[in-house]
Amino acid sequence: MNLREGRIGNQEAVAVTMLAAVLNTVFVTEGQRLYHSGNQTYLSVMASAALSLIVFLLAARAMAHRGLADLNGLMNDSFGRTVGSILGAGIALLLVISAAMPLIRVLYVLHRYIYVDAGREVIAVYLLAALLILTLFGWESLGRLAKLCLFPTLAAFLVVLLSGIPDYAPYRLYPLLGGGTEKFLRASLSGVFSFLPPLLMLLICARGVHGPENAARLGAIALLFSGIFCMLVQLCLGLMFTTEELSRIYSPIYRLTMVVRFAQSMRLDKILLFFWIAAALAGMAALLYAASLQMTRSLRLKDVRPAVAALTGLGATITLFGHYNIDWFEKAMELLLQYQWLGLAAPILTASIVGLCRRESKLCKSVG
Amino acid sequence: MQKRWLSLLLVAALLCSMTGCLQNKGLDQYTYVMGIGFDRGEKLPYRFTCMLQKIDYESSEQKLSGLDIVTAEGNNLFEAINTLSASLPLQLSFVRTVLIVVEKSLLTEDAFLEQLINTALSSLMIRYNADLFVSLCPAEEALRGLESDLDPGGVKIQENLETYSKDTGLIPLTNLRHIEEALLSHTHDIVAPLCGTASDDPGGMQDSVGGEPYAYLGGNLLIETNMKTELAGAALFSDGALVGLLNGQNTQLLQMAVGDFRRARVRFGNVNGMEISILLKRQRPTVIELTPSDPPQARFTIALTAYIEQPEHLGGVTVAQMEQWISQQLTDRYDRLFAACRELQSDAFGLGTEAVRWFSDVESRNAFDYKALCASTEAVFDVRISLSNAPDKSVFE
Repeated sequence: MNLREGRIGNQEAVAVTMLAAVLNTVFVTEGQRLYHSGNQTYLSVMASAALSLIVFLLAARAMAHRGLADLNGLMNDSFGRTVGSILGAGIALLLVISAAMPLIRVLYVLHRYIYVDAGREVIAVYLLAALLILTLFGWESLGRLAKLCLFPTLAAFLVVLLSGIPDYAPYRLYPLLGGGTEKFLRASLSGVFSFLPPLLMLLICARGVHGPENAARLGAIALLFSGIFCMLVQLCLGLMFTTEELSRIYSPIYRLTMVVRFAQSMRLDKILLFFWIAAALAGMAALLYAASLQMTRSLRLKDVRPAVAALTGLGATITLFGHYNIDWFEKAMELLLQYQWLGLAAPILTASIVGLCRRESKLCKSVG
Repeated sequence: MQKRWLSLLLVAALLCSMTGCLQNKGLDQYTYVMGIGFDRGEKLPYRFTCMLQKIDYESSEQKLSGLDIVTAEGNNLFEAINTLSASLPLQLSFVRTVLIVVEKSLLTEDAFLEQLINTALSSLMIRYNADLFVSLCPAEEALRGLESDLDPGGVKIQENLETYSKDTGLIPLTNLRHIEEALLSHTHDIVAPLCGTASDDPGGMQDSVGGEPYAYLGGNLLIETNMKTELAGAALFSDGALVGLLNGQNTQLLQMAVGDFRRARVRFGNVNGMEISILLKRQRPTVIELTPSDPPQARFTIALTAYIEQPEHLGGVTVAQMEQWISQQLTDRYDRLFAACRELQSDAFGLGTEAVRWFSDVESRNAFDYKALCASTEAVFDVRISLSNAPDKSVFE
C-alpha cells in the first residue's frame, strides 16, 4: 500500500484545515450572484461555517459510533459497498472542484496583474506542477507545510485589512442584510461548499489525525477560527467596497491591496499575493490529496499516486476552463454552487444518520 | 539508482519547458509614466500629455533624475500611446502613474470620467489610488509646471499632496477608486482638487460661492516659485459632470466637515478691527444626522479645536466670547457653501451616503432620487469650538 498518509499532530491538522477553509472562502466569495441584492456575506459565512460544522460533527460522531476509521468506511457501512463507493467517488470529485474554485481566481490575478504577457495555459502549467509535487508528497508533508504557511498567510491578510482602516465607511454596508432572509439562506447554503470540503479532508484522512474523535475536535477548532477570520475579511471588504463594486470585482481581496494607499506605496500587493498563493497551493494540494485518497479507497486501489496525478490534472483543467467563458461551464458552476449542498452534504448527512441509528461498534472488536 | 536519474531528467525537462512566464525585458527598457494629462486637441479630439520619470541607470545605484514631458494627439488614449511608442526608444508603463490631470472643459461632458474609468485605465493597469486633478489651465502646462531642479519623484509628489491636503485643507484628495465608486453607486458626488499654472490675473478668479476678496485658486495665487503649478481649491461634480468650483477657503470648510482633514489655518476678518488667523484642528469626526422629513433635514455637528496665532492683538475678549464668535463665523460660511452646492445639485457634503441607511433593499435604494434630496435638504451646522489655552498659542486672561 502506498497511500502517503502518515500521521500529523493537532497543530498541523488545524493549520491545514484553516488554510484550505480561509483561502477557499476569501477567494471564492464574490460575484454578481452574491452581491446583486446587497451584501450579507459577512454574516452568511458564519452561517455557512455553522452548517458545515453540524454536518461534519454528525459524520465524525457516526464514524466513532460505528468504529469506522475513515469517511469511506462510513459511506460503505451506511449504503453498502457499491453505492458507498459511487458516492465516495462523487465526494472526491466535488472536493476537486472545491480545490479548483480558488485556483481559478489565483490564475486570473496572476494573468491579469502579474504575468500579463504570458498565456493563461502557461501559468496553469506552473500551478499544475506545483500542485502535483505537493500532493504527491502526501498528508504528512502537507500538514507540516501548512503549519509553516498559516501564520504568515493570516498576517498577510491582517496587514492589508488593518491598512484599510482609514478608508472604511459603514454606509457601504447598507442596505444591511439586503435581499432578505431567503437570500441569506441561499448564500449560507452555497457557502457550505467553502467550509465543508476542508472539514471532510480530516474525516477522509482520519487515520492521519489519530481517529475521528480527534478529527472532530480539531475540525471544530479550525472552523471556529476560520469562520471568525473569514467574517472579518468579508466585513472589511464590505466596508471598503459598495455592493455595486463587489458585484463587478474579481478577487476583491486583491483589489483591496491595490486601493489601500499604504499597501500601494509600500508595493505590498505583490508581496502579499505571494503569501496567499503559496497558502492556496498548500491548502488546495491538501484538498486534492484528500480527494485522491477517497478516490483510491472508493476504487479499492492500493496506491494513491495514480489518483493524485489524475485528479490534480482534472483540477488544473477545471481551473483553466474557468477562464474560457464557456456557457455550459459557467452554468454548471452556477448550479453546482447553488445545489452542491445536495451533492455533498446530503449523502454525508444520510450516512451519518444511518450510522448513528445502528448499533455501536468498536474499532477493535476483540479486546481481552 | 536508475530510477533517481530518470526522475531527475524528467524534472529537468519539465523545468526547461516552463519558461513561458519569463520575459527578457529589463527595467531599463521601460519608461514609467508618473502623470497623464488630458486636453482638447487641435487637430484630433484629444491631446494627451505623459509625464515620464527619468531614471539614471548608469550610476551604481538607480536614482531619479527628473521628469520628462511628451505629448500626442489622438482619438483616444490607446491611439496616442501607440503614436508615442513609435517615437520613444522605451516601452511606456503605467504601473506607477500617480496623477491624472484633466482640463476642466473636458469634464463638463458627463461621460468623460466614465469612459476614463471603464476603458483606458483598467487596460493600462493604472493604480486605483492615482489622484485626479482638475486643471484650470491646459493639463500639459500643469504637468510641465511640476518640473523643477528639485527632481521630485512621482511617489514623493503624491505623498506630499496627501500631507498638504490633510495639513492645510486647501485641496481634497480624490483618486480613481473614489470616482468609480461614485459613478457606480450614483448616491453621492465626488469633489476633485484644482490645479493651475500662474495666470496673468492672479487673484482675479472667483469660485461658485463667491464673497472672498482674495480667493485661493490653483493658478491664481500670489506666489513665485520654482514649480509653476499651484494647487488650491476644489471642483464640484454632479453625476460625473463638473458643475462648479470652490476656492481654497471654501474647500477648507468642506474638508473640515466631511473630508480627510487634520488641521487648517483659516483667516477671519475684523475681530475688534483686526484680521486674525486661526489654526483649526479636528477634535472628533463630524456627526451627520439626516432625517427623511419633508423637506429632509440635515444636521452637521463639527467639533474643532482652535489656536489663535497672535492672541496678543485681542484685548478684552474672553475665551467664551471668542469661541462663540468663531463658531458663528464658520456657521455663516457653511450656510453659504451649502446653499451654493445645493443650487449646483452637487452632493459635496455626502448626504447620499447618509440617505442609503434609510433603505432595507437595494431596489428601493437605487430607485431613490438623490438629486432631489440634494436640491431640497435644509442643513443646520452646529460648529463647536474649543479654544486651546496652550502657552504659545491662545492667551486671553
